[in-house]
Amino acid sequence: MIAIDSASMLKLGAFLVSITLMPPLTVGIIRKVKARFQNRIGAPIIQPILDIIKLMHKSETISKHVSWIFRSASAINISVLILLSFLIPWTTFHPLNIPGDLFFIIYLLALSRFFTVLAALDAGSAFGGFGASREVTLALLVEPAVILCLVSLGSTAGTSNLTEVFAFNNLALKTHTGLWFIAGCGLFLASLVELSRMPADDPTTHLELTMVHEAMILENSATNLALVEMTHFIKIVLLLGISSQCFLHAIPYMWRASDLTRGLLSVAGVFALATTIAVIESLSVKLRWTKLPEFIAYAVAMSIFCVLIALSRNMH
Amino acid sequence: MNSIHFTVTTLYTAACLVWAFGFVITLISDVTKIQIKDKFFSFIMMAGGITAIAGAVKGFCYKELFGYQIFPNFGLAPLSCQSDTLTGPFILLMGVITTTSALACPSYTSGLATKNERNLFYKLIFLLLLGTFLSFVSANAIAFLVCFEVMSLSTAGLIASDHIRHRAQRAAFSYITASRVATALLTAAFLWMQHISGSFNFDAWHFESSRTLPAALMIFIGVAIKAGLWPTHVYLPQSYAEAPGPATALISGLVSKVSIYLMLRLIVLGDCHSPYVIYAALALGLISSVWGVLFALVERDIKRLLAYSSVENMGLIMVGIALAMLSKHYGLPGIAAIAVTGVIFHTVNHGLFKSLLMLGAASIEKATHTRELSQLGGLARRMPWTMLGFFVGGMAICAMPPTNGFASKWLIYQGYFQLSFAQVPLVDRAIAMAVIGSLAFVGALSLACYAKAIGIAFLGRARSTAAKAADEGASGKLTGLTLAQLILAVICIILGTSASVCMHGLSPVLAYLTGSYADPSSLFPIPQGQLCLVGLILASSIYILVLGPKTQSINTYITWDCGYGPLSARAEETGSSFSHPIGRIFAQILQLDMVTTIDGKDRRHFPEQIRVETKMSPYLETRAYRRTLDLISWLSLTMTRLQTGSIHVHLLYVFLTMLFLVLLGITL
Repeated sequence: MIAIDSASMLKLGAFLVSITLMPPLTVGIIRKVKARFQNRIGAPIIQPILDIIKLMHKSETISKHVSWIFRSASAINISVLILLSFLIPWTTFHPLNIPGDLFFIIYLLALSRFFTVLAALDAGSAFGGFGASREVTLALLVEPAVILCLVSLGSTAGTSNLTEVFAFNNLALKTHTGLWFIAGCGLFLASLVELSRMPADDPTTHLELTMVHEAMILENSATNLALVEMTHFIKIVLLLGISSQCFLHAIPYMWRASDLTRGLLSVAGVFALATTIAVIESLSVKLRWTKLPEFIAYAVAMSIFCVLIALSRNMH
Repeated sequence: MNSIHFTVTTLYTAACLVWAFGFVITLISDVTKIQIKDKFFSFIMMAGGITAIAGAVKGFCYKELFGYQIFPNFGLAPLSCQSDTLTGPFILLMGVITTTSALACPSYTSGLATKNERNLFYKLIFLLLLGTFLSFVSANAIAFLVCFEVMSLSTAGLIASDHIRHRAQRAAFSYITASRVATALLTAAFLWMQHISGSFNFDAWHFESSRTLPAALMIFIGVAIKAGLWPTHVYLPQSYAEAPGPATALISGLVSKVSIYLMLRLIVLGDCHSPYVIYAALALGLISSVWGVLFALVERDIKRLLAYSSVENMGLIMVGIALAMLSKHYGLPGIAAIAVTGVIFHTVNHGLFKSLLMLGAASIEKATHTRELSQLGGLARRMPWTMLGFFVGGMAICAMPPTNGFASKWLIYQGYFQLSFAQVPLVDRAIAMAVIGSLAFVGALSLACYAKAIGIAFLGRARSTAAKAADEGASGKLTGLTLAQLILAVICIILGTSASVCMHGLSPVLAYLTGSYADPSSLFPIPQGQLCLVGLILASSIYILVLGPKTQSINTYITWDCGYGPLSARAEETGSSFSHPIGRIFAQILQLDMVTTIDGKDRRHFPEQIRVETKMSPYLETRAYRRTLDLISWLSLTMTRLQTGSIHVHLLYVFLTMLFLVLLGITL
């Protein structure tokens, strides 16, 4: 699995550092950019790390109605996301060669959603229930878009292993700038919804009846909350990473670039998309709940374009 | 290898004899005063089940066929049995489900008042088992029809076992109607095939020529009715909901699989390449999967929810069968291998986790005396074992890794994925993409559906006093019912984590159905077991190291109530409100309507009474079937006018008929 040479050790090191640091920093960047848009100086970029450390030291309060699901869900979710970080090709420097099958990835994400939803229902609060109900509704609308974007990439490459699809070596995909770009757009729009970001959900409000993710984690506190937050941070990086990889693959220069450039640009890509999110959130408003299917329709339309391109290119 | 041949035959015969013995015992108990204990019957069921498992495993290991005749002269054809590699997985599934339901049966029968009720239940169960088993191993059409009928009628009997209730009567009637139509179609198709091939033997039938198309279509429609595919699924929720708990596990786990078996045995093995059958199977399968899960999601009764979800899964299996036929048609052995493995694995898996969930529902019903989700809640602490079993079952049916459901669904996905870039016409590749999109949609819907079922029934606070007082029995220890669920749950997880090993066992079936000698274990490359182990270690170490130190100092407090003071359980999310956002999106299909009435002097600011009512009328039942039924009863009423009761008019009818027949004779 891991050949012990300096290059792969370096890769592994870079990967571990980025999977630890990038999630909170990405969120820090989003918050900082939003603060600057509002003419505030804003908290330092490392503030999410400090928040998590602070949460770790607090004492935990849970509802008396919860079952074993509630606390184990957060441990399971973060482990699923850590596993996923090794499976999803969100960077170009991947240390282990586990085949990241796209259906497996989608269903692992669904597994983490399943636990999140159940944990939200566990305390029996109205907020948790609302959040859970909305989360599954959004997931239902977004899921076909995500899977079709990835499937059309995989279908063009002739494999469902995403590690091979996103390896800059698949000649069948090299000339498909349009496909990569549209897939990137589709995945980005879908991840805005999946990550409960702005047009779908407002991550900064609390106790508002229209929210999704924040409503679900209302009962979590202290370490439990810290785990949930970290899970969410990792999810942000992974989903943004995969759409930024799509955009990077659309650039012909990247196919010639060296490993180092690719690695640096893939980190930069995640931060760039994070900044885009911050800009979108500063300039737009949250959509009404009933309008959301129309927004998601854009992502679905992108995925259908991807499918059409994939079908036309493989014409026999 | 005569001795092995002998062994499989002996074991299969022994299983049948054991069940027949049980049936005879119930008869003896009926006529004499002997009171037989529930445990004895359950033991007999289990013994038969375990014998069947042994036979199937033996058959797997040695790849032996057996065939013999019970009655050499049974009307048109000998009543002969035959077992080959295809029956293996089905018999194995049957053995496992029978054994586990046998554990659960006493929990139901101990609640029955009289000896006769108890005997009737077991009598029907034994008949059902015999009928199902012999349907799987019957070698020709006549034997199959006889056994199939025994199975259908005993199922109808089980559904009607609580016949005092009006709902059970209706359910039994609709079940009988559906199975009558299915049998009629199958009989017609079988006669047609006999006419063409000159034999009633299944082995002699091939569906390659176009002359067999009507027969193939009729078989497909019969199978679709029996499996509960859209639009003939309407009887399924009624009948599954009314049958007694352990019997439902058998019916949903086994009886629906007989039709899948027939489809594989005749249509797939008979090399049917007709595009009509292929695309009909694909279309009905897809519609059933979407329709089934959508209705499951908005359902309020937990057993009906599971029944609708059966419609979904039968649809998925049919989609897989369509892929198998399509890829065989285009000569793509690789995809055919994936599809066939996926279909058989999913059939077995669905049998397992659906029985598991049905037993869970039975357990809930027994403990709370209700199946309404709106009356449940907070059962996780009252019924921990049921919760665990239902949770695993829910994960498996939503195809969550690392359960078995994921492995089989992955194969169906993978089959269509490979079809999307195979050397086939563009239309089929586009269809493949569309199927993948719809499967993703169905997957997300079923996640919502089971998150609702588990979340509303087991989590949160109790919504009724019955749920508050729910008791699994045996004060926290395992009862037969909970033990059965745990066994099935463990099997689901083992089949999932060692999916490739299990698929390796399917290689003779695969070779038999597709003629390819690919090793099915190589078809599923995801190291699910290893990843699951890593994930488990990771999760438990995080739990112990990060969450663990806080466990001692945890404060428990009320659920956040915005400072209003303790909220009652009515403030919780209910099942209907959970599924309402999705219901709104599909309001046209579900016929969902919400009426809000606000009363009071100043309605806007000081409402005195707010009443919200959601109404949902299933489209097919109200629009299509209700109108057909109305038409039939109107026709019947109109026709009664012909029967005036006057002898003269009837003599006129006789005369007119004679005249008509004479004319017919002259013209022909």
